[in-house]
Parts: sequence; C-alpha cells; structure tokens
Amino acid sequence: MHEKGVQNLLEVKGARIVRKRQSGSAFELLVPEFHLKRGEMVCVIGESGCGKSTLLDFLALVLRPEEIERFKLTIGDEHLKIDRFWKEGEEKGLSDIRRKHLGYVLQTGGLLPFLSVRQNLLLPSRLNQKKDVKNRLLRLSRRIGIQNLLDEKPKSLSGGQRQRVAILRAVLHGPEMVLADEPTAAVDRKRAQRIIDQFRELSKRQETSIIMVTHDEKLVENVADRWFGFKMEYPRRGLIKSSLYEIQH
Amino acid sequence: MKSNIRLIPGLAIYDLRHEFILSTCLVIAISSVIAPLLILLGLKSGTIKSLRKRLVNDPSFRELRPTETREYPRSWFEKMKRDEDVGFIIPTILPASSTVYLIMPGKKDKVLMDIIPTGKGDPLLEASQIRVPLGNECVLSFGAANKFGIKKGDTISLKVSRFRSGRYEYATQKLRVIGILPEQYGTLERIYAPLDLLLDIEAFKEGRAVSKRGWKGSFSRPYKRFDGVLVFSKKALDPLFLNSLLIESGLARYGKVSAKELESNYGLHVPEEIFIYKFSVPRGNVTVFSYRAIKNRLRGFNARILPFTKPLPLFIGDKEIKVVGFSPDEKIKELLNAFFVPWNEFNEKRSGKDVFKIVLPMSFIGKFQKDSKIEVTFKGVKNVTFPVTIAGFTKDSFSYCPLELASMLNTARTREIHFDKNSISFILSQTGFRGFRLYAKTIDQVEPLYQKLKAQGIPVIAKLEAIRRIKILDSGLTRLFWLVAALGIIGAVCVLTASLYGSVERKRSQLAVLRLLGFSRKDLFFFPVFEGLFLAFFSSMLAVIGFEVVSGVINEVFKNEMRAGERICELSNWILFATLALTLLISALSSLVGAWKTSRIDPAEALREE
Repeated sequence: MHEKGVQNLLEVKGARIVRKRQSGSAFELLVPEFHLKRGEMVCVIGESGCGKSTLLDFLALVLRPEEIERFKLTIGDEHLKIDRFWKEGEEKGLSDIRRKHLGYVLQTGGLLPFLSVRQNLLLPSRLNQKKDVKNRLLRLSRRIGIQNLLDEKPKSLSGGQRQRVAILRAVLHGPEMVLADEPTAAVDRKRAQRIIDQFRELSKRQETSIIMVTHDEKLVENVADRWFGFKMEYPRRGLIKSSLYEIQH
Repeated sequence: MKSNIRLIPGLAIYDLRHEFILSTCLVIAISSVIAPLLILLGLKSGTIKSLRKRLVNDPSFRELRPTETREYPRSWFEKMKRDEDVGFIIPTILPASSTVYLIMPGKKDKVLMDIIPTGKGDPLLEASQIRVPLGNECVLSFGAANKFGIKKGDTISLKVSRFRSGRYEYATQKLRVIGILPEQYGTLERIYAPLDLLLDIEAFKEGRAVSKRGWKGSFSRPYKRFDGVLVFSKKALDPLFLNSLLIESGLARYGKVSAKELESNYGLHVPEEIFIYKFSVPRGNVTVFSYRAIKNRLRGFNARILPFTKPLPLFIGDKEIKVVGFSPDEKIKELLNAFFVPWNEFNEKRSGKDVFKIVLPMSFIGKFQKDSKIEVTFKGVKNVTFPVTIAGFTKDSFSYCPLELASMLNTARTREIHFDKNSISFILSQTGFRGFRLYAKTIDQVEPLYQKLKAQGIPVIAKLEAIRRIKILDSGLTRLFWLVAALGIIGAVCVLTASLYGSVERKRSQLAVLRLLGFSRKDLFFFPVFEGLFLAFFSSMLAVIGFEVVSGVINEVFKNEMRAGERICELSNWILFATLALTLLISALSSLVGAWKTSRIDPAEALREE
C-alpha cells in the first residue's frame, strides 16, 4: 500500500470500534488497514448508519477503539503512537495532538456564534499560540472570497460562506490533517462544487491531507485521490458489523 | 503546552455580549436581589450609626455620676486614671461648696450658679473643641451664657460667701470666659473652671484662708507632734511622783535615759550627775497638750523639761543630714552647753521665718554662710521642699532645727503638707475629695465601669438603659437583616445556578466545538465560572448604583428627622466591597454545577450533533 518515496502521515491497522446504540443494539466498525499520505485527499462514502461518523470520531481521536494494532501519526521525524496514548489513557496528549495537528470541517460549519468570523478563524491559532497568522488569514480569505466578511458574526453569513469560513478555520493554523464531515451538505450543488474545489486547492497549497465523509460521489470524483466504502454484515439480531475497504476505481 | 484557561475569560465575555438581552436580564435579576439587601443593610447601618454617633458624640451618655457624697482619697483617683475603661476623671468638691454667685459683666446683678471642675481630657470640652481653661479662665454652659448674654472673651466675677464668727464674709474672683458649650451639652447654668479654683472656693467656704487669692481666714497647720519629753533633774525623782506625771497627761510611760544614750542618739552632751527621764507614748506621738500638762506639774520642782523629736532626714540637694528638733530654754542651754542654738524654748505660737532655721555641722562651713537661705527637702508622705535660714554651725555631727519645725515635719510622715511661701508656713494638704466627674472611654465601656464601681461599693448612675436599647436594636436589626439576606442569597444562588446550567445545556454544541478545537475539560470548566463572575460583577455594580440612587432618595425624605451630618441610609465603602466579594463568591459557587456539566461534554458531540 505504501507509495514509494512518500511517507504515510497516518497509518491505522487492526482497529475495532464498538458503539452501543440507545436501542440496545451494538455497532461494530472494523478498520483492517487505512493509511493517508501527506497532501492526499481521501473520501469516505456510504449510506446512513454505515459507520461514517464513527470512523470520523475514531480518526479525530475522540472515540477510543476496543482493539487496535497500530495508529501512528508521522509529523516530520516524529512518530506519534496514538494507540499507546489510548492504552495509557493520556487524554491530554490526545487533546494536544487534536489541537496541533488536526483540523475539522463540520456539516454546518461549527462556527462559534458569539465570535466574529475573524475571531473564529484565529481561535485555533491562538490555542496553539501561533502569532504570525494574520497576514496568512488575509491572503487566504481573499483567495476564497471571504475577505469582506471577517468582522461579521456567523449568523449573518449564508450557508456557503459559513462553510468556506469553516474550511479556512480548519487549515489556517497549519494542521497536517483535516477531517471534513459532509462539508457541503447544507448548500446547493453549484456552490458545493466551488467550495470543494477551493478546499482542495487550499489543502494542496498547504500540503494538508483531507479525509472527507460524503454521500455525493460526483462532487469529489475529480478532486479525491482515493475512495473508501463500508461493507455491512448482520451476523445476529442486535449487532451490525461494518468493515472499511478501499474502493478501486 | 500551557493551559488555555487564559482564553476563557475573553470567550465568556464575548458569549455574554452575544446574548446581550439574556445577560442583561440576568444581571437585572441578580441586582434586584442584591440592591434591596444593600438598602436594608444601609438602613440598618445608617440608623444604628446615627444613634451610636449621637451616643458617642454626647458625652453625657458616657458619664457616671456618684449618688453619694463621701471621701475619695487621692490614691483612688490615681488608680482610676489608670483604669482602661476610664476616659476622664476629676475630683469634685462638696455640692454645698460648689454654689457661687456670678456677677454679670458691667452689672451689679448676681445669680447663683454651680461651678464644676474641668481639666485636660474633659469630654465636654473636647466634643465642643474648646481648650481647657487654666488659671483664672472658665467655660460657661450654653444655659448660663444664653440666659445672661455672656459671650466668649467676656470677663465675669464670681462671689463666694461664707458665714463665720457670726457674720457673712465674701471673696471674689474674676474669670475670663474662653468658650461656651453647645446647647446639646446641657441647658443648666454652670461654670466650668480649673479644679484649683474649686478647691480654693471650698477652702474659703470652710473658713480657711487662700493666701494666693488674698482670701482671708484660718490656716490648717500641720499638728505639732513630738517623739517624747525629756525631764532633767539634779537629783533623782521619786518614782511615785514620776508615775503621777503620767496621769491625764496623754503620756503612757517613762524611763531613765543615760547621758551616753542621749549623746549618741541626739548629739546632746549631758553631765553625768544629771538624772534624765524620758516620757513617751509607745507607737504614738506626744502632743503639745501632753507637753503643757507635764510642764505645769513640774512647776516648782528643780527640773527642766525638753520635748524632742527623733532625728529627721532632710536633704540638701542629694545630701542627707540628720536634723534634731531642739528648742532648749536658757537653763537647758547652760546645762547642755548648747549655746550654738540661737532660738529659745519651744513656743507653739512661734511662726514664720523664726521657725524655718537650721544649725548645721561644722563640715558645711565654707559651703554655706551663716544667715544664708538654703532649700531643703523632707521626704514624708509626699516630698515637701522649703527654705531654711542657716542660724549657725555646731561641732556635733547632728543638725538642729527649732522643735516647732521638726514637730510639724513629724506630722508630714503621715499627712501630706505643703509649704506656703506667702504665709511662710506649712499647710496641711487636702487628703481627699468629696466626689468626682467620671466618663467612660466609650459607650461600650460604661457598663463595665459601672460594675467596677459597684463592686467597690460606690453607687453611681449612668445611662445604661439608653445604651442597652441601642445594642438590642442593633442586634435585632442585624438578625433581621441576615434572615432577609439569607433568603435573598438562596434566591440569587438558585437564579444563577439555574441560569448557568441552562446556558451550558443551550450551548452544548458550541462547547463541544471548543473541546474539539483543543480546549481541555479543565479549561472549559472555567467557562461558566467566568460567566458567573462577570454576571455577578455587573450585577453588583448595578446594585450599588441602585443603592446609591434609592438611599439618596430615602436620605432626602428623612432629612428633617436627622441631625447635621447624619444619614438614615448609608453604607461604608468596605461593606460595598464586601458585598462585591460575597456576590462573586456566591456566583462562583453557583456556577459549579454548570461548570461540572461543561467538563463532561465530549468533543465527539461536536462531530455528531452537527
């Protein structure tokens, strides 16, 4: 699976994530093998209830797996063994990794309504005590066309504008990996395509890897490098098993 | 990685500002709890403060008055002055002696008035910011000044009267008025003057002379007391006769004395063949009466009589000398070869400079000259210093003075005397006083002082009930305030707890996003805490403004019922600061439930709920 010369940013092997549902049934997600290269965009597609959100929670380091063989994040020369953090219950370490190396784009943006667009954009950088991001903020906001919205509150933005702000917030502090959960679900097709294109352009420019969950294959078919899907099984009543696999195009 | 708590206060402020209307409502709700409490506390504090101020400012509430006239020794006053509860104490004279006539300036009218002693620390003068009158100065009560139209700076005359030897006698004294007491310190007609003047008035009323003021009368001289009487005889006296001398003489015993003993004890040289008998009273003094009695009985016998005192210590500067009271007649001088003594036999009428003489040992020749005056000090009950004229020198080691002087100094061993330079005589000092003016330091010390005097058997009256009433009112209002405050605080805690908890529930998704972005549980725990603190701060500020406005209105409404400088509703700055601190503390505690709820929010909720 390793492409010669390009180091994997993320390597996951032998993960089993279990989630108990309120109805009493259990959902089990198996990730036999998953990797992500620097600057690569991976799309995860599937129907509702197949495990997309569970995968995203797991990759966002907020859902601990029942079993894990390997979960490694490579930042430059540093190899962060996430599986060890989980085993040792180092929540603060996981929180630090999340803050420094991960970015998030949520379905409706996840912007904080009490902060202005500028404050929303700068918050991850302030959390990481990065001070020289203001010029980059202006440059990138111009690039995606939100430079006039910086002093607005999120509630005065349209759905598309909100998503673009969310995308910029996710990449501005320079994370290695961005997790996006159906970032264009709330906008029309035409705007969605433009947002995805801008997202991809920003990520390439920053060498940021993207893992995007979507149900709209066509939207990402020209920008994604690889696709993943889920194979569902119902071994017995009250148990759903889902396995992640790479779709070969 | 440093904690991101530093970002939380800013986020909390932005959030409160974002929900401006909701935050304002909450601030108004909380301040609506605090402001009435402040007003209630202000009313309680203002009322009690004003009442206490009236008590504290009016010294009459601190006064303890004796209900009986009795003798209070000087030592008692000294002890009382050192008492921690005593603010001011001064002796007074007999009530009958403290009534004087005041003669109006420029008029002949005279009115009877009480004269009261005053001195340094008198609360009436201090409260009125009038200095203490000295010498021939006085302060008048408002009643006295107002009734007779006397102003500060006027000179008034006092006329003191007494009935002596079948006729009225008068003494007058001019006094300059240096101040008038305000009306609130009494409307009775009174003159406040230095204690010296009152003691002089009392002395005059009792028939004594006050030479420094030119008031005539008798003097209270110290009694003349001897240590014994010596009888010299050329032949032995019959013991039966000697015993008969004791009868009704006031003397208790006699004994033979050797010439040697007399020489060693008194420096007197008696020929060996002379019989010497000493008459005395064990552990007591021999009076002039006894001397006269024995002298009369010896009339016709070939015997000489010589009263004596034991050597008395006198100090010339630091040097101590032993002085023997020795007044021999011519025959004794001849017998004892005592012509170095220039004065003659004891004469109880001898007075003035004839008494204040001394014969010093030869060792003083060169230091002092004959007929010069020196100051000597006798250390009796109290030191008394007086001048004596050097009447000569003797080769003996003892010094000698007239027996009239020594016998008075003998009295000074047990009674306080002082030298009066005008009459060149000793005068018995007053031993005690007939009453006192007493003020406790504070109104809180009135009752302890009252109890102390009661324990000493000194009945006094004080305005204890008025003080107790204020204390009861204070404690009652305090309890009432805390009851209302407790209900208010419980209400405020409920409002804040519910609001902050509800706020956390409402903002769950936003808080989850903050967790996802990298804020730790500990960081976010402080988000509701800071929101609570800011709400409490703004509420306190609003409550203080509300209090200032309402208390201003209340004070304006009750203006006519209050004295100058008094306010019915007021709070000191420290209470306002304490209120702020307490509100912040309560809000911090109230936010803990919301804070705990916040810290339980999982970052995954952000991903899922979106």
